[in-house]
Amino acid sequence: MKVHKHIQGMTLLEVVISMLLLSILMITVAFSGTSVLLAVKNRVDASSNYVLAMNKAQALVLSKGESFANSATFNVTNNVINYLEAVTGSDGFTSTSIYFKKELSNAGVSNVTVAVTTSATDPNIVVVSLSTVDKTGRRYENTTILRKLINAAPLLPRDGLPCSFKAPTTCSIPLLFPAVSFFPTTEATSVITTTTGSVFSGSTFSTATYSLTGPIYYESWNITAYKTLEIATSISASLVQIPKMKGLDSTVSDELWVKVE
Amino acid sequence: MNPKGLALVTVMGFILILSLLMVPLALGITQFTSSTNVVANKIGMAEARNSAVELVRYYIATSTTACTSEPISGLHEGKLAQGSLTPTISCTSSIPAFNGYAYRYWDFYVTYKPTNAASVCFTGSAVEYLPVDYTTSTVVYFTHVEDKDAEDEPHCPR
Repeated sequence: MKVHKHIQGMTLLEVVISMLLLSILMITVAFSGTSVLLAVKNRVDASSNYVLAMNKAQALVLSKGESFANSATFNVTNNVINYLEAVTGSDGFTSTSIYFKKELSNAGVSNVTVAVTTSATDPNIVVVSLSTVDKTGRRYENTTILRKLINAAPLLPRDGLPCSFKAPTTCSIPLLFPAVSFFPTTEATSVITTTTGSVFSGSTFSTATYSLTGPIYYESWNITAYKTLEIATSISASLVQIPKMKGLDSTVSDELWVKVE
Repeated sequence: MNPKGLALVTVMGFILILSLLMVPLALGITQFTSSTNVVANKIGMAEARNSAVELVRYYIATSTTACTSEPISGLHEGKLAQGSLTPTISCTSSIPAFNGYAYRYWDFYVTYKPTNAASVCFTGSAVEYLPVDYTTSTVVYFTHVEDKDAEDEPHCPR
């Protein structure tokens, strides 16, 4: 019986010590668990200021993708994209600029820095780099690519040639996109607005004179483009040669022979 | 107080404190997810638009049918990770050459069906240049590209 009581007393002491150790352990777990959770929460809270801002900025840049894809030509100056959007049913183009810095500021993400560059390998691509730095020095970066999809080549309109060429003619053809020059240019003359080519009638080739007329001056690009191709023939023609022309985005339309109907 | 009850209250209080800490955490993660989804959808749309143009370029360049304004449908779908592209092209006019065509003018409609959003229709026009000597490749110039709601554009493939 005595032995039994002795054992009971030792067990009680052990239980007390165990409870003490357990309580220390529980308190340690509680504090460390809370601190871990708080650290994660702080990181998430901080991230929401920066990651969400970056996402918003990227979404804003991407939202400009549709109209930029439809641009005939563009340039980038001081992180501003200036472009001519091809709009059907109008004179052909709408001159537009994208001020990302201003747009981001309006969207409430002025802490994001924007850098706009053109691609060295693809002239149809604009690279928009976004970056921001949080209070702890952590850097958040993202890159978005905008791609121009259309080719502003000076092509004949859907209606084809508007003249019959049944007699010596001076025929004015409104181009689908304006031409900057005939092609190829020479080192001495970077812009050629008059050239010669051929027309065919029966079994005879004859020289025709081609001119680019109807100038439009694009101030942002300091470029003059021409809306109309003028062909002057000295004989009637059944086949007309259309020379190569260079467009606003440097796309060159291929040479072709067109049958007169 | 019953010690067992005290222990239970302590545990419940601890769980409550942890839960309160978890609420903003969960909210933050939800915000991240929805924000990332918006960006992912927009990136998916941009990639789909680029792919649609390339798909149409291929079908125009390889088309051998006469220019009749009839829509050419039943073309193979383009499969992307974020959805599918169903194209229809139609040759609306042409300019004759000595033999055949010099230019063919095309309209195109591509329905983009993303896996988790409403369908979008990419529409536009293109001009195909057919070389006289038939030895060089045809060239397809895109002259217009536009995004439309697939429901609003009757020509878009369903």
